[in-house]
Amino acid sequence: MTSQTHSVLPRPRRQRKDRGGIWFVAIPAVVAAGMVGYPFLYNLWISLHVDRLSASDGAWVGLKNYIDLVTNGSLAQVVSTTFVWTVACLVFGFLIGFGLALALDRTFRGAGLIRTVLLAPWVMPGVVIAAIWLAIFNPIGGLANTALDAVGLPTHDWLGDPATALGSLVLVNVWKSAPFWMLMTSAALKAVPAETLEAAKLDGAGYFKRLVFVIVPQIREVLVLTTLLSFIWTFNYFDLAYVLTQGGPNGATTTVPFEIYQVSFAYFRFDQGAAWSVVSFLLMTILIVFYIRLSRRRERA
Amino acid sequence: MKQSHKTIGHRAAVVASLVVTSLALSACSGAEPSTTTKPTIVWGTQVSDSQRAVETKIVKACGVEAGANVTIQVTPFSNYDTKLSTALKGGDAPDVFRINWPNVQIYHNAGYLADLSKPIAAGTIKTSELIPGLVAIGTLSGGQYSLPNDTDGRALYYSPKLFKQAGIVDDSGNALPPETWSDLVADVKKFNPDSGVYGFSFQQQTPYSALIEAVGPFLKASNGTVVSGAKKPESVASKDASSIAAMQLLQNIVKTGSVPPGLSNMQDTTQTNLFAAGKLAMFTGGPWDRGQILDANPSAKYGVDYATAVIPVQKAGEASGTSSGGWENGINAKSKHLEQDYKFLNCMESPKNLLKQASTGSFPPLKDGMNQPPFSKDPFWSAYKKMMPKSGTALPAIPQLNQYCGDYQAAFQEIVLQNKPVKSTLRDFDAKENGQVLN
Repeated sequence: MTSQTHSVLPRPRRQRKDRGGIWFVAIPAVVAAGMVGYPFLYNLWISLHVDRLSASDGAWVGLKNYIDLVTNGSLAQVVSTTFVWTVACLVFGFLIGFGLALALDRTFRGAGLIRTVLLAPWVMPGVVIAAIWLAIFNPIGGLANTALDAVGLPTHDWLGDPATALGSLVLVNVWKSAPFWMLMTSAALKAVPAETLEAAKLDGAGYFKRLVFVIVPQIREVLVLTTLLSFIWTFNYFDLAYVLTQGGPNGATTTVPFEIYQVSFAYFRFDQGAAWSVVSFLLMTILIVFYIRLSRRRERA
Repeated sequence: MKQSHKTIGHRAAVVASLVVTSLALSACSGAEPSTTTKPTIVWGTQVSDSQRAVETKIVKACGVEAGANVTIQVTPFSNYDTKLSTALKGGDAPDVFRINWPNVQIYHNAGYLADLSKPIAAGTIKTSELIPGLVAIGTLSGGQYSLPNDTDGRALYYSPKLFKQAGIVDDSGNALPPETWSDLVADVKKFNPDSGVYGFSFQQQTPYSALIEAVGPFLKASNGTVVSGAKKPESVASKDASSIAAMQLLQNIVKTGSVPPGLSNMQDTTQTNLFAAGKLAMFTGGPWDRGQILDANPSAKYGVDYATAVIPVQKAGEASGTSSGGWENGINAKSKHLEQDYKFLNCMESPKNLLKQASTGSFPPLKDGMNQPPFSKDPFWSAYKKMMPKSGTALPAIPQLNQYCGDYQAAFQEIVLQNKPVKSTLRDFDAKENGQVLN
């Protein structure tokens, strides 16, 4: 008994601690896997079966729902619209947000107030923003056309013309998302050491050179993270297309999330909606992995 | 001796408490014998605030008649179809509910609706006074899966005041609504948007709008169709002469330039607001649009600020018709108290209740409904009444109806708003529907 006790006692306590640690990791991991894995797998299962409120619901159809996306011609159109929408929102959101952050990166009276006011669109719910811009773009008596008319310019049906509808939605989303870019960049700029900038200045670097060769490399990690978050949010953004254009006119603003909604809940084609969801997930994963690899390669270089 | 007294005291206390308990239990069970045994029927509806008071009264009375408690589950119209469909799929739907007519066949195919044939045969539900065409919406696979709640139609709303200002009058100087399609285009041209008045508008609020609200009235007025054969449906939008002509008519109207901007996303309320403000001369609308006009302009008077006329026809002298629709009532196949549901539905379907419900913004689905007050006395209804014999749904209730309508809307916008050729665009639409959607 004693010898047994002796043989156990010398064992380090760490091992026991580690076992407990495994459980602390395992339980949340299982919960997380269930919360992410189960819906994904269930969605995948739906996409391989018939599920459209019909008598044949549950029948196995293999990849037919995916093939239908290609053959009915909607895949190329919707994906390209989503790509244009996402890239345009990211580029303009970055340019404006970054510009504002640089402009406000100095101490002057009222900078805090301006920053707070500029953040307002970002904190507003998407539906509220859509309602505001619906009134602005209203072709009859809307603010946009009234302003154009006042300065003698021709008025336009911004949301009703396929040529301008997507651009109008991009404008609204940039208005909403640029403050996020500003917020993240402002925080990153605060972390750039003043000495480094001072040293560059003493070496004769002008503002533009300091920006490109000192500031941007210092805040690269924040920019990568902000791009990733903005990409995911913009790609999945649904509210504006739903409230402002209902995906129209004639599909001009139909992005992947709107198509998923329309196919699933307007047409009751849950199977095809699930196929769209899987495509959306894969597209996002591929693009995010590609982007992270690219930014790491640049970092190493 | 003391002990025996104690024992007697204990026994007496036990007996007394038993008596009190049993009395209390019997009193409780006697107070509301039915509340604990009554089932609760959940009624699903989408009616607007203005219609709710009338419907609530009827629903409560019908609950009493069915011997059940009733809970009312209201969902706004904009979300109703989606919420009901997902609730039915998830097994959490109301017991008895309103169904938008295009969804009847879809729900039936999915097995969500209880067959009403037996209670109809047993006389628990009576259908003899209902319009047969509306009953037919729920007649599927040899059974009866829904019954009409109300019906509707689209008429031509016009502004007599604006017509008189534009000189569109008869010999007596009264406003003269267009009789034919060519009259309609000619009248639309007489309104100048530069002076702040548009001639004609149509709504594009939902994926149904193009087919049911915009083209539908003209399609039915000219006996046209876009889908033939309900059993094996085929899209014939490019083969049916009236279908092509109706689309051409709307393209011609838009070409006049006397239409409001924003037609691709025109909301019903925007249209009625424009009309109520005296900025729109004509639009096709349902009976519910009168309420919206009066909301926007409470002093608007029938015959002065607004009036209704039959949908213009292709050739003078033809009888007009229009696209109609409406709501049906159905019972959840998974309901746990079907007997009470049947009694509840029978009460809801009684002519008296159907008349009361319809008077808030639709027509009663009764054979003789339009000849009864308030429909028989109000001139507002006369145009609808004239078109009733030639009215019907713009297309049969096929299972793929929603997707078909959505695709039709895309083709409609290409033709009418982007001026693409009618025949070839409709031919491409038919090819897509017959190849991918209806097969």
